[in-house]
Amino acid sequence: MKTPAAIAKARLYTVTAIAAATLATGGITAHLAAAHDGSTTASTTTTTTTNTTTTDSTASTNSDSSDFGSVDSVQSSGDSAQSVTSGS
Amino acid sequence: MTSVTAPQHARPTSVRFAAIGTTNHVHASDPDALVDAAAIARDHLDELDRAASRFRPDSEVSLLARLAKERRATIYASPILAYYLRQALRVARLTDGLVDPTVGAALIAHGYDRDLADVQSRSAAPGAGEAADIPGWQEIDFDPQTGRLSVPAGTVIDLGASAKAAAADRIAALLAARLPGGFLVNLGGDIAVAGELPEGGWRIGVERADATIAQVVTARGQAFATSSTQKRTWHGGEAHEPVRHHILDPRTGRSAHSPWAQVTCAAASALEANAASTASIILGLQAPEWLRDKGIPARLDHLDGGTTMTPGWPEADR
Repeated sequence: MKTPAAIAKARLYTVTAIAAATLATGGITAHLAAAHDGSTTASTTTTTTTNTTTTDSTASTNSDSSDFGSVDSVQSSGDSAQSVTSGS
Repeated sequence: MTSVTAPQHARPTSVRFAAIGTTNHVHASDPDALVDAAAIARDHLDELDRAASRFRPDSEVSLLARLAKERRATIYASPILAYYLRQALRVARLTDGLVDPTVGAALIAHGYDRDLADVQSRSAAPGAGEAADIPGWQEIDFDPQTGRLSVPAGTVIDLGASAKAAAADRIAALLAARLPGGFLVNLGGDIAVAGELPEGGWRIGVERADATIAQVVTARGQAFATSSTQKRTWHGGEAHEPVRHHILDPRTGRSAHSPWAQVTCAAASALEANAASTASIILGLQAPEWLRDKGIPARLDHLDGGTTMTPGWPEADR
């Protein structure tokens, strides 16, 4: 679990970065590209190896299945993108 | 330090940060959740990097590679490495071994032996393109209950083809479980969404290698991933050798010789979308039929500029 001190430090760091980036970008998107303070990396994640099933309106998958889950058709959007998928 | 209060109408709804060798974004439908969402995402990626990066000498993956240099080696994986290894092995099963986590030594021999920026800054990769043996994912002996992980001599585990996408799924699920609203987690182009959908869904752009947007689609629970032969590239040691890229064909130990510039897939998870897009690059001209058989909506951009869609993916409107 992350300690209260680590949480506070992470929040302070992130809020500061967002505030600075908000001024620079007109407030639409915050940029946190600066080097990460290692002291904010206290373990916060409980990992398990239990099977999980994720289901929502358009997609379902079983985390251990050897088959692809079902997925609905993709629709076009006439608006600008909020986020992009690009090759990596 | 200057204290700044952003005007209410201009509060950020997304955060960008560098981690695990790529650029990442977290989008939140509720601006109040953004700070905590970013902290959770960064913490998780830092933990993943410490366990699974083959570019960090102190990672578990690097430790295992050193132990396995000359003989079969065994470690007990941490919970986070165990989780991501399990995802990698699932990807190998989904793709019939086309996406294999034991290609690490072959990637190193092919020149991808350090962070990509350092690889690309060299005039030419060492080794003149010599292929290394690939032990094969089925040679990994892994007990997910105990974390016991045993690999043959010479094995270097590379989770690069699965961990980023798996992390997008995991972080999106964590955020939706802990924070209000909806979230889109984009780790270097592997996109997962969870929680409440914004009105009309999340709008996802398919970006070409030249950073232009080819198409905008809507995510209503689907995850997306794109694999490209045009971005993570570097020069080999031979004068007339094609530019190398990071998607290795485990059948040859070399960069996949593919007709596709990039392949974008939609699936039930980012892990599955990335498994499908990476396998499609390796499959080449067989990819559209394979994707149709798997029920994967996809957009395949040919090197010659043409585009192929599989059922479920909309025609391009721009």
